[in-house]
Amino acid sequence: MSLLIALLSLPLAAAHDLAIQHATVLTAAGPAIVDGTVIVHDGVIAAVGVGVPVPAGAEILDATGKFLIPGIIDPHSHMGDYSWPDGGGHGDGNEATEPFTPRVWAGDSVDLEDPAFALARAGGVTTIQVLPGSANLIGGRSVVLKLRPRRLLDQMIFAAAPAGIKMAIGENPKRVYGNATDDDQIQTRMGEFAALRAEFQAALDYREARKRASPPPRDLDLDVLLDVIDDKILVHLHCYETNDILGFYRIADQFGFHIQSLQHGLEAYKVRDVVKAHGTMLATFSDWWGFKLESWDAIPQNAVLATQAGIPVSIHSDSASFVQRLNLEAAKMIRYGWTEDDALKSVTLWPAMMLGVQARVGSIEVGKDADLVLYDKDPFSVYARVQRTWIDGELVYDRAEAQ
Amino acid sequence: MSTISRRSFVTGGASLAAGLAASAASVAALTGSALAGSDGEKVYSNARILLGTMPSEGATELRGGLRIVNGVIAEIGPGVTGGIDLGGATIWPGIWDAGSAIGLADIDLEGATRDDAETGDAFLPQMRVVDAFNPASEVLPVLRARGVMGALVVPSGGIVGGQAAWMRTSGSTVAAATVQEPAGVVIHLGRGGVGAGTATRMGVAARLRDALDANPPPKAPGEDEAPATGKKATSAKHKAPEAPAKPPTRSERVWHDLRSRKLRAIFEADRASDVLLACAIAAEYDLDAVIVGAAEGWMVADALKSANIPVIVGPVTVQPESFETMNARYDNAALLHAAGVRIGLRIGDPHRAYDLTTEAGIAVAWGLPREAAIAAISGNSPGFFGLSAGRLLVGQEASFVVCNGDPLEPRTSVQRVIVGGSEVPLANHQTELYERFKVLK
Repeated sequence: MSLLIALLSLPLAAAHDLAIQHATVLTAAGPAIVDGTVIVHDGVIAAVGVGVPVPAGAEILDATGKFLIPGIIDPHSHMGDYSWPDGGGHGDGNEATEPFTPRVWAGDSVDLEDPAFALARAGGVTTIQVLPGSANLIGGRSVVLKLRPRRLLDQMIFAAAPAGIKMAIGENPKRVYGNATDDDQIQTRMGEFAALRAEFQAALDYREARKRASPPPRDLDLDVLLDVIDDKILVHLHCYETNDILGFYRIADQFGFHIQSLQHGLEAYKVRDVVKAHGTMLATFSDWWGFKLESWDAIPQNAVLATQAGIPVSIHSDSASFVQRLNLEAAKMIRYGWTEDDALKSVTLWPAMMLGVQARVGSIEVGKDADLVLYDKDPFSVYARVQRTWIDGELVYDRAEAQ
Repeated sequence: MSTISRRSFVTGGASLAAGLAASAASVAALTGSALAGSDGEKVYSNARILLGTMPSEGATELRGGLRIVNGVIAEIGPGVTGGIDLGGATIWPGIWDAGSAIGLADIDLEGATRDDAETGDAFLPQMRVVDAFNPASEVLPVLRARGVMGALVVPSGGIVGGQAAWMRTSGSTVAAATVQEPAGVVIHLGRGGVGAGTATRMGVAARLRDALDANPPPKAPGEDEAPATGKKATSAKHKAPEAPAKPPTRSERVWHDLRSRKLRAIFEADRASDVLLACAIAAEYDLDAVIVGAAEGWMVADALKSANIPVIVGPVTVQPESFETMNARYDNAALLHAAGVRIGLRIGDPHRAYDLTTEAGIAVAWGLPREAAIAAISGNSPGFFGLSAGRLLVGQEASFVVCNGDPLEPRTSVQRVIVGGSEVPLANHQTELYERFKVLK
């Protein structure tokens, strides 16, 4: 353990200053800065603006004609848990043994050698949330990673990120448990909700029992659920249909916990007032649909209508392929009514807020981590290519070296 | 099978107008709209027109307008004015996705809507996708509204998985939706072919060669006194040559057409070694081959070039995520094109066929010339099958898409879709939901 702490305390990037000059800077914190300069000092953004003085000795990068944006954040990833190449040996995303596995942690499955990490960096991705899959009603806790190329998991973990947990409702759990032969059988949505109520009630009963003179032994699942009830863990809910969204709010309201985000939420547009009233954020696909019955009513305006209702909307990938092109997935929403700024925030600031790390990342502002992406063209053009990606000021992708 | 099958898209031809009239009528029947009815003259002007052709054929882009007479393009270019002023919008042929399950598969996880993957028999050459194609699929209007005009519809499963067809996204009947049937016989190499009766790639190759050997091309008249049938041709294996020859079965007729180059062999192959195997088998049996997929095609670009086999690449964004595609890369299409291989593009996922524009744009970002990318998702692939669909040329069917900018850019919207000279309504399941919920009540 002491060795680990020593390793973690080592400066991971050489302490030096970097000045990116003459870029169009899309900050996600205000209007675009034309001919802008961004100064990075010790991995942190030290200055942003036009004509900002460059510290002596700083490495200078002339970014004339190029576009600088905050590092892309994907709030819904399974990278590392379904490492490439796919196959049984790499299938570590769903602990589909029983409907409730809050005790498991996605970080324990992460394969640090997943080649998808490097390709995501080449797509400008700097932070991801790895979630367990959606086989279980409560699938387990997530891990938030900074995509630094590292040998040790602890060096990739975004330490400032609060804990998160994956829950799921709808087709997937009942498909997985509909044919179970034991007590785990769940065949219907009402069965799913009944099981959830019973599980949360069991957590409350457990809390009371633990106060007794002869308490029951620790239950790692119920301990986590009590943290959920106490709002100590951010709840990320996999859902599609309105009945699933509304039903889960009934559970959350009954047991008094907050739902941080709807993941997918392809029918959120139909109940966006309810979602807004609950203070829930939305992470959704751009225009994916038809892959299952509960995605049949997906419309490409979902993100736009939710935005109009005042909900911060992220475009997530749920895919180690699409994560490399989240800028283009977000760009498609401009066609349906988003501004460029909406598109930018949907892959930077809003997912940062969803993960509870907006004080550190998600925009180009003084004091935030220097997680940056430089494109050769407008990042919402299909012809744009990432030139460089930095995480905490460390260059983690350089197109010139990749070729 | 259909009265408008290949003929409606073959250059020139007296049947062209008749085919188009049938097409327009079918659109009217489908939509109940008065828009269909392609008689007379119609003009779209003040546009940027992308022709869907390759640079080697001359200019790929014009400014001006399109004059349509009886559903056929009568004139293109700066001389065409008046009519509907498009205000500088872009006209292009739209997407022809060369390898899809549109019309066969509506909802991935609902088995009752899935007719794209036959199982249990390694050889079903007689199977035809038109027998399952559903012109009333609600997927089709969604795709159409976003510029997908048609697709090479392919079955999956088996080694020889059946007969593909070029189908439109419009048309109220299978006949009206059919552009070319059969377009070819689909042959799955790699793990895609492993299944009934095989467990390995070498097993697939062996059984495929066995089947090809057992069905030699029929002899030309006079070459043999007996009728050219599969039974006769394979009589060396079966004693009793004196027995009266039976008429060939349906599957034997398909094999004969395949072996005599009357029917294309559409090989699905991704791993480089499987792509090379497709080239080898095509050469051994003198097949008229097209290769689809080719995720690792760039590794064997020279072999593909010297075999002169067209390749339908895709998706462009296929990842090194499976053991079939360990060497996938974004510049695959660009590298194949640079090596002189004729390429088209396909996306694979029927629900996202409209994203083939984005896929083509990504190929451009990674080195494919833009004109070649436009042609790769419109005119090229139909051209590999002898069709002129996906190209805007005088004398061709007036089927095209109008959009408000570069069709490859994700911010661009489709404004109009014209099939056989008639505007197709863009309403669909998704637009109806949007109208219902854009204001909450």
